[in-house]
Amino acid sequence: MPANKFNNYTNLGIGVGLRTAHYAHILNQAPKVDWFEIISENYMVSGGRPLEVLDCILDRYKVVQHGVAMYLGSPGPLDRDYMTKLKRLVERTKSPFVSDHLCWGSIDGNYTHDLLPLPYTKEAVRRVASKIKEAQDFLGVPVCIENVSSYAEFITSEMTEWQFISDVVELADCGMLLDVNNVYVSSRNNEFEPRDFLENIPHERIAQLHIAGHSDNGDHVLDTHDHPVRSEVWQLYSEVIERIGSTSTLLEWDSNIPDFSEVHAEAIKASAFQLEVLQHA
Amino acid sequence: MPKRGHSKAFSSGLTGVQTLMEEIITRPLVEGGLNQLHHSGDEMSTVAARFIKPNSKLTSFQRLEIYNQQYWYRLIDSLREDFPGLQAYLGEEVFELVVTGYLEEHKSSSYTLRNLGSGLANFLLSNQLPTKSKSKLGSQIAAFEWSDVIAFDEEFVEPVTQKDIEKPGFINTSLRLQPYISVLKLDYAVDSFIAKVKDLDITESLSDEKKRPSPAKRLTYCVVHRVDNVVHYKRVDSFAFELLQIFKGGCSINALGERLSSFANNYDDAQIAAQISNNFSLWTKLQWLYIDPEQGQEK
Repeated sequence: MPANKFNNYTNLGIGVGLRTAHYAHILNQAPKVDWFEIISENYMVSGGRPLEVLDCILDRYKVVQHGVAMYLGSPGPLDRDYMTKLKRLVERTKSPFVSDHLCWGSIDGNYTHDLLPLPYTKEAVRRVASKIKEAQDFLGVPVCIENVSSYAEFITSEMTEWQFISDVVELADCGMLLDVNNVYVSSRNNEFEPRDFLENIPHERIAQLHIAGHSDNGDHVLDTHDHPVRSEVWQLYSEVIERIGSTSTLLEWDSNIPDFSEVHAEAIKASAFQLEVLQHA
Repeated sequence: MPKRGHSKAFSSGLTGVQTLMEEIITRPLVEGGLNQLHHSGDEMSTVAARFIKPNSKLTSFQRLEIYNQQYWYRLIDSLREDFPGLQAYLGEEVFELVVTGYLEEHKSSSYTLRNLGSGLANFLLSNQLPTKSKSKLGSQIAAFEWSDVIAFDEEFVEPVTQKDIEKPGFINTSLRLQPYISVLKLDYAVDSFIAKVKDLDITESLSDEKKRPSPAKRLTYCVVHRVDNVVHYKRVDSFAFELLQIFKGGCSINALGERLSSFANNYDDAQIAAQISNNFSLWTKLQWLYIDPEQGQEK
């Protein structure tokens, strides 16, 4: 959906993930970009270069925060220190909403720094939904959750991934960041039909889309963000746009990062796909 | 102790599954892959099959192994990025052994990878294997590179101003060194070494032991700080080092003389006053000192 309560009624266009490799180009050349997505944790620091750069970016561009460490599915309460710093950053960036992953990554104070999949159980639905509600209340902006790439499934799962996501977002009354590449990666690894996933999630709750490249290792696919977007993922992206309409889209490129112009050119292909789909609608 | 093949059944509840998964994926890799044996004595493939579904291409063990590998690749890469000098000094193979041992003993306790290397210098000092002869220098390199991390993004507090200095009673005001500044006493010229490493083609030096750089042995007092958000290294003399160490813990100008007493035996009062005055003037310009908000004025 173009603009809804889950993205604070914004449709920002086509964005690019802000990466340090591109700082100099962006600050010196001021390229025309609809918006940037920042990894929240990179700017939850006390001072120095990261915040200086962020303030320059904020002077010129719209910024949306995307996190990798809220760990909504981990046991125990939300990390108060983390949430306080996150809120401080939201106040600085004026991010219309924040997103993080439907995953876990820490236990007993130990952090894996990974986005680990959850068993798709009712217990997990209740745990995650409760934390999302708490996070939204605390932050004062909508929280959207992203489907992760997964390489394994749990024997204890009681439902499909799309049913799990639907139950979580309904119970938490939150939005969804649909990562189209992650759907593809998980579909290959977990052997499901990606269109089943895309048909059965609550479309009205989609606040933003992610696209990225992956690495195909034959017997499994890794979500590496080190390639252009693959044609299979663009195909799925077009089908999503056909279903939900023009939606804020973000390209992630995190490894083997090329020049900014190349990354941006890859991102704005999404505009062409959106245009093509909507012209035929 | 559970017998082989008869380990205690894990709790299949959500937290039980997560506990088991975290315990397995954080175990060090064996020959680049997941350890074949679980610590319970069971085959890892048996343990994996208890909670991970196989698919048509991969077994439960292989699917779990992907997470195990990703964990170690990610964390070691992060330390590689923050400690290029230590890697250049130890070589890639020893570096990996050291950081694997470190991470095995010190799992990450922070949500951010930025803090991952905070204990590496102490670990090197207290764990001499497999680099017994190199552990002291390795520890100093690690401490220096950790200071680099701190200098990059730690807090800048509003510094002491000329107006503060002119206030009555200022000499009794407790002052502190900025949180982003580290003061190091090194047995080697680690600062020059790190500067050199940053200019090197690390890949080339790592592959050839003869090309691997090593710091020169020289007692060095160094401050790692930043100017305009760029990290700098500044050498100081032993007197300035002592003063900065004192300010790190908080001290007023008036109390400096007493705190310096054991160090300054070889200086007369005029020399001490000149040292304090000259250094204080420079550090004020550099904005290195701030008024300790917790202590304010000392009695």
